[in-house]
Amino acid sequence: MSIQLMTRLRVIDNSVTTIGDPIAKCVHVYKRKHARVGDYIKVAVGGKLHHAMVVTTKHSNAPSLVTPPKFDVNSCVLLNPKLEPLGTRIHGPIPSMLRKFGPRTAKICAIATKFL
Amino acid sequence: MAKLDVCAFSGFKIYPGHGKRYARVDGKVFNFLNGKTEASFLMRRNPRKICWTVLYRRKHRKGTQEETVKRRTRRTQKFQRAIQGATLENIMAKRNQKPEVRKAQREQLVRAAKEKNKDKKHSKAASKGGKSAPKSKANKIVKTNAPRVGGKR
Repeated sequence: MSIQLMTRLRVIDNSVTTIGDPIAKCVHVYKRKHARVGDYIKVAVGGKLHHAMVVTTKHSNAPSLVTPPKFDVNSCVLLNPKLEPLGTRIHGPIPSMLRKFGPRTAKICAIATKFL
Repeated sequence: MAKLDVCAFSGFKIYPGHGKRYARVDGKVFNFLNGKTEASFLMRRNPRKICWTVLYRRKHRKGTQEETVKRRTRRTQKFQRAIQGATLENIMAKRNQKPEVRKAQREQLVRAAKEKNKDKKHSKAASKGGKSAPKSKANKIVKTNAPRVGGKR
């Protein structure tokens, strides 16, 4: 259920080109055991540790008006230690509920291309 | 009142508080009414083969027989109209000509052509003095049929 230690996530921003590996492994979840959409996690990518935010999950709770839709993949956006996105663009769709998180996700929403 | 979604698999309406939404990586979003439709969709079942779905019923035209009236077949109206070079009266007159009249007309034209050719031959023979290239067969004017009514046969 959701993202936890050892979960593999897809990195969907274009920082992948610099790092070289599109698959990240979750190494720590902040504040909880299971990360949901919008939570911060720590991932290991390309031999390094990065902060990341969970952006889509395969698991989702109904009702679908309030919660994000269930996605095909678990994916994340890489962040620097100041929790700002490392990449400049996000490929693929992300849930529109991320906009409602406010300043936490404002920068991520700014670089996103498609909302669902 | 929230917008009523339609289930992507069954075609039923999804009222607020029900259902689940599934977003594919290619960006397409699917709404499901319940676990049954969701599972069927993800199993890649074809709703057109599942009897209780709206798509199946639509495809097999179930339940709509009382409502639909037998479709009137459309017939194209044949309609004669004037064309460049022939007013409607001319066309109608030509079409309504009696066959005897037509035949007489044709014969007349043939005779006229023959006469013309004969004259030509004679004149040519006279001018060339014996070496008369026989004119090719009399230019028989072929009477065309009445103009064709427009449209595909």
